[in-house]
Formats: sequence, structure tokens, C-alpha cells
Amino acid sequence: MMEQEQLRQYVFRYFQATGSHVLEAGPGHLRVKLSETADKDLTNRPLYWAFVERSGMPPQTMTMTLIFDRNQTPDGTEGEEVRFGSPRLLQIFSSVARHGRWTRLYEEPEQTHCPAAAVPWLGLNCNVQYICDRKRDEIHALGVNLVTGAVEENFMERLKSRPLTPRLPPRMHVAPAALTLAEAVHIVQNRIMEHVRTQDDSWARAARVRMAEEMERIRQFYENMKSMPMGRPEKASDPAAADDDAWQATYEKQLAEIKWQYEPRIQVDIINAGLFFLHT
Amino acid sequence: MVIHEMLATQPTEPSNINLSPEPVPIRFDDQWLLTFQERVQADGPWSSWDMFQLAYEAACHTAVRTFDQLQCLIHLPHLTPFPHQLETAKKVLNDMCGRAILADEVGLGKTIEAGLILKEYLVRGLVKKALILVPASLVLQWTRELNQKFHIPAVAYKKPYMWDAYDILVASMDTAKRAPNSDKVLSTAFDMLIVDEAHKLKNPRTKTYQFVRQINKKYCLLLTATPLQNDLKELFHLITLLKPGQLGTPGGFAAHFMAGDRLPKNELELKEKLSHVMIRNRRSEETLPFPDRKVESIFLDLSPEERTLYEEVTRFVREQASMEGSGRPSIFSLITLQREVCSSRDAVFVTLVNLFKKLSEDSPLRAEIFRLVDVAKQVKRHTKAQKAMELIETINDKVIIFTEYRATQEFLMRMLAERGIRSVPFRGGFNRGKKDWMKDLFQNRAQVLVATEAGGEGINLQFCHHVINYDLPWNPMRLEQRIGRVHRLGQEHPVHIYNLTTKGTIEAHILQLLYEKINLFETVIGRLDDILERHQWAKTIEKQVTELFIRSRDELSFAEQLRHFGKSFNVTDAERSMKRKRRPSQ
Repeated sequence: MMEQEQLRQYVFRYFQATGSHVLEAGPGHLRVKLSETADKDLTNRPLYWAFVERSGMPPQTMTMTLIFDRNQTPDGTEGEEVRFGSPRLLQIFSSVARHGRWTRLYEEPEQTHCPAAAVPWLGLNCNVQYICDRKRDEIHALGVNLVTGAVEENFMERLKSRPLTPRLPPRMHVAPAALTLAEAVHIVQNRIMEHVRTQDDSWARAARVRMAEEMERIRQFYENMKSMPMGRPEKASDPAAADDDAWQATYEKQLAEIKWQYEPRIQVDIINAGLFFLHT
Repeated sequence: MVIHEMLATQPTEPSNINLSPEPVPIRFDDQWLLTFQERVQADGPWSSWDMFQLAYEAACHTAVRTFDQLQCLIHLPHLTPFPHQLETAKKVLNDMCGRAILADEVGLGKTIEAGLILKEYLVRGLVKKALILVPASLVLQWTRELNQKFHIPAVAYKKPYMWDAYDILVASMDTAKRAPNSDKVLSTAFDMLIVDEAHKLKNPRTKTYQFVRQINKKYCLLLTATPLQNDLKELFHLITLLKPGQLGTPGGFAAHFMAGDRLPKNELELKEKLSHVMIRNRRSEETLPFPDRKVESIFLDLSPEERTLYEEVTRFVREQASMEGSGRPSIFSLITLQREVCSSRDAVFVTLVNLFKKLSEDSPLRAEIFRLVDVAKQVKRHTKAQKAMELIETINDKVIIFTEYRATQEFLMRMLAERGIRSVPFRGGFNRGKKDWMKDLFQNRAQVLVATEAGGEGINLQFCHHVINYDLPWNPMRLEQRIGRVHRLGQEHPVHIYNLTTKGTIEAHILQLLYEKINLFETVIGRLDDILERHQWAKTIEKQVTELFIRSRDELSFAEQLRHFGKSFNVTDAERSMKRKRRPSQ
């Protein structure tokens, strides 16, 4: 959930990050000439872009006005209202998910400082999803020191305060990594498993109870249906119940559905990942 | 370079690591590592720090932190559902684990509830693939509502490639169950299946029932306003589709819960079992902002020419109806004629001409009909139409005029045009697209909609607050459907209903019997579904009134018979409310 002002700032940063040209930035609205990246992701005109790319024509990107607070926009401003959940914001979210997955950044050394060797870190942002018939997410921002194997939590917070650059700064020394990426990933996985172990697992136990109940209910149901003598109207009337095999197949299918619906599991997805070279 | 040393890695195997003592399996996504390693090797391309942060923040903002708190509203800032709709969504999510029958009474917004639930599961990432099966006439409406109200990218099914191309499809039941679509549907695993008008799934012998049963589904919503139409067994089959065994086996159910087809026993237990799978909100139980209904019956005096026409036609109808033999017009056309004469001269014309054409050339009736046409021609002043025009001008706002007859509809549109009032027609024969188009025209361009039918399921005309019943249907259901187009949840203004009736005609009697004596206007609001479930009963009224009319020799005896009929009504009314108390649904 984001407040409107938070939303405005977020969208503003998105336009900057895509290299779009912000024409107006009021307290309640933004008017933007989109960059190519933003245009492709937001205007939904793949045919136009296919045409431009094939013909080599200079592209004409669109201009859009987004309104965050009607009360703070100049009179006569026309545009599209954006709120959390708006399709426009969903587009922006999927655009950043596409363009913000992998990065490699170096911390700029302070000028006066005699440059010491920078330490490589693997930064992993994970979504730990607790899933049964319901679901809960937990976001973890973990960093692994590739020299020592030390793990740091809230790694994104730590990065925020550092000046980061995509280019290797001149005369920067980089300490050799002692760990492979895969090893670092293992360390992160272990850390998450440890964390999960300390979490309340009543949700999973409850889901298992529900699942067992459901399974027992349909087991009884099919048991009874199967044992009904042939010729009973209920059975004869049901074409799928022609024979025991059919019953068995339906039964197994429904068991599988119940498992699909209830079985507790944890799925860890990677939001994005980066290599960071940091001074201590 | 240092980085290259890190490349000496072996991709990890898919990890399925168990925890003890009661291990919940954990799965780590590790597809990404290969991609990442490739980037390292190729030295890019890399995201900017800003983009990287934005992506992380987006994930934080969209993550769902609790199991049980409804998230969908955060994503739907423009939507304000009613409390009962939110409660329903919560209950389906938390207590029913996503399998439920939504059985609210008509007009309480089952579609909204289903939309909320689907949205919630989408937001949580628990549903990706969903199928919504609805009657053909509602496919576009559903698609539109899901997109507009819920920002759910649902697509109306049109071509076979769409089964694979889209995650959320709305299709008509008939289309989906036909080959080759049925193969496609049955070979897909749907995270959610929604079936609208699910009372059609009451018979396990039907293809539709078997089809729905075979669909591989995780969550499932069955929507119906009438879960119990005729027989308790129907309810059993519906629930068995959703949760087999919830009510035991068919035999067990019958023995334990049924005292008769419509009469339950062990009611408390049945109710308890139903409450786990079915939610039924009732109008009477909700403190909903239903607008006022203001009904005004306007009685008009016929002009002398109209009076003559009415009497001549009535005499003709009675005479013919009492005659035996094959030469006479059918009872149906006679009754139509009798009712048309209360509507408009033009409607009478059309039927007379048709009757005339059907008769053999030497029929003595031809002269008689010819004479009636002549009488009709004398009518120059149209009392009802005059009044309607006055009303429309005074109202000076959107108005719907309902008539039963096409000829009257055309006549009214001509009258309106002469007065410079813009109107659009609406008929049952219009296809869905045309109906929507007419609705838009009415909303944006015209003052008046002249309709011959109530518009069918799903057409909402809430922007209009005035309804003129130019003539009255003899079936109270039809009248209720007319009014229901505008008098529904979401209507923010009082709704004004004007019944135009001519004094001393059969119509005046009908109005008195159906709509005032039985007080239908007041009572149905609280129990619309009771009425709906008694559609049959409503049809019976129509039939009985018709018979009474045919059998009565004159106006007086007809009025007398109707009074009798009305009395018999009150008794059944009391019976019905007794029965209702015994009904199992909550």
C-alpha cells in the first residue's frame, strides 16, 4: 500500500530511471514525455514499435499526464488518475520487475581515502511465501560477504547510504572472492531455512488438519458410492459412475485437487539479485 | 579478473529440503542463478541502481503480509463494496478455503462478491489461471465488470487459440462444453472456476453437470440466487459438485435430511452443514440503502371514441371466445386483442389485420373485423399517450416507458419524435451488442427509452429513476423485472413508478387485483426471491385471470370473479409464508 504522495515520488523516480523527460512536476501531478523504454512498457502499442524497428523511422514517444491529487493540480489539467491498484501502476510495477532484476555496482571511494580493497557481496532480495489454501509473503533482503561468508540482513538498507556507481572506479582494488555464487546462494538458503524454523508453523498444522478432514470426507463418500449395489437409482443415473474404475479415477482426481488446494509448502522466489563491491 | 573466479560454480540442484519435526517442504527458485551467472560472464547488461531499488520496493509494496486480512480493497481504491459483500469475501477466503456457493438474493451483488474473491486470490498470487462460465448473454457483461471494476484482465472467449493465450477467460457454458473446447478445458488446471447461474447444475445426469465436475480446479465459486428451486436433491447435487461428501451420499442425504421433495428434516444439522459451503445474504437481513419506491397509479377516462372501440372489441372477444368450432380465432389472439385495446389503437390494428389475413375469404368474420378496424380509425385522441407525454415533459429527466406491444412502442416513438423528445427503442429481439448500444444511447443521447421487455438479466439502468408502465403485464413477475432494472442496489435516488390505467377496463381490474389488493409492490421488496422461486405461481395467475375473463359474461361478473380469486390468494399467501419458515437455506 502506498499513499498518494509516496506514489507520486515512486512514479517520478520511475520516469527518471527510464530516461523519460518530465515536463511538469506539480505536487499533485506529473506530465512526462516518455522514453522509449517507458513507452514500450506503458502505452501498449507493440505494432507501432515493431513498425518503427523494422522501418528504422525515428520513434515518436507519447506524452502522458498522471494525476495523484486532484486538489493540487492546476485548473484545467487533464490526465489519468493513478492510485495504488490502478492498471497504470501495475504496468509500472511489471516494467520495473523486468528492468530491475540484475545489477552490479561499485561503491565510490571517498576521494581523500587511500583506496583499500573493496569486498564483493552478493545481494539477494527474496520473497518467502508461506502457501496452503491461503498465503503470506515475507520479504528478505540478504547480503552475503563473498570473502567471509558472513550474512547481513536488511542489506538494501545498508546499500542505500552508499554512493554506488555502475563503473569500476579507477584504481579500485577488489578483494578476491573466497566463495562461488552457488555457495553464497546456499548460505542464503540455509539462513532462510533457519529463519523459517523459528517461525510459528500453526498455519501449516491447521492446513494439514483441514486437508486430512477433506480427504477423509471424500474417501468416505466414494467408499459409500462404490459399495452401493448396482441398480440403485443414484448410481445408475450417474454415467460417470458406470463402474468402479470410473469411481476410482474421479476419487483420485479429487484427492489431487484437495492436495493442490491445501498442502502447506514454502516457496522462495528471487525478486532481484546483484553483485556489490563495497568498502568496509 | 576476480569475478571470473566466482564463475567456477556448479549450478545448484533444485532444492527440496525438509524441516523436522513437522517439516513443511521448502522450494527455492534457482532458475535465476544461471541467468545471473551468464550476466556476470558477459559483463552485463546490468540494471541501474535506481531500477533495482524500484523493483525491490514494488515487491515490498505488493507483498501480502498476513494470511487472513483482505487485501483486495487496497488494490481497488475506487470500489466501495457493501458490508455484506466484504463479509462474504472474508468468509470464503478464511472459512471456506475458496470453495463456496454464493447464493445471495437477486440484486445483492453476487458478481461483486465473486470479483472481490477472485481479485484477492490474484493479488495473493494464489490464482493465475481462472475460468468463468456464464450464460452466453452475460459473457461481455462479466468481462467488462471484471476489467472495469476490479482491474482483472479477463478476456471474453472467442477463438480456440485463446485457451492458451490468456490466463483469465470468460466463456459461455455452452461454448466451453462443446468439442473441441471441452477437451481444452478438461486438460487445463484452473486455479479458480466460477460458474454463474449455477442452479442450472442441479441434475447430475446432464452433460453440463458432468462437465463441470470433471474440470480440474483448485478454488471454485458457484453463483445462484435460487439454490433451491424445486427439490432438495438439487441442492444436494450442487453441493456435491463443490465438495463431494459434504452432505453424504444421495441415499444417505434423502434418508437423513428429506421429509419430502421440498420438505427438509433434521434442519439444524442441515443448516450447519450448509453454512460451511453456502452463503446466502437476504435483503430483509441487510440494512441496505435501497432507494424508496414511489408508485403512482394514474386512472384515465377514455374519450368517447376510445370507449366505443374498447366496448366493441370486448364484445367481439367475448362472443368469439364463447363460440365453439374451428372457424374462430384462437383464444390467445383474442386475449391479446383484449389486452391491446388497453394499450393503443395501433396495437389493435396490427392484430386485427393479422386476424383478417388468417381468415378464409368467405368467412363472415371478415366483415365484423372490417367494422372494428373502422371503429378504431375513429379514434383520434389518445388519452394514455397524451398523459404519458405530459408526464415525460413534467419529469424532465430520463424515463423508461414499458409496453407489452411492439405496435405501441412504435406509436409512442412517433409521438415522442413529433414533440421533439429523443427516444430509443429496446426489444427482446436485440442481440447483446445492440442492447448495450441502446443503453448507451439512452444514457448519453436520449431522454426516453421505450421498451417492450425488461431487458433481461444483467442490464442495469440505474441512471434512470422514472418508469412509466404504459400497459400492465398480467404476470406480476414481469412487472417486477421491469422495475428491477432501475430499482436495485446502487440506485441512489428514489424510484418513481407511474402506472397508466384507463378506468372501467379490464386493466383497471388487473391493477387492482395484482398490484394493490395483494400489495405486491410493498411485499416483494423484502422477498423478491420468494417471488422468483414462484415464477410458476406467477404464470398461474396470468393463466387463471385469462380464464376468468373468458368465462365471465360481462364486466360485472368478471369483477366479481376476480374478487373471489383475490380472496383465494390470501390463503395461499399465508401458506407460502409458512413454507418459507420451514425452508432450510439460511
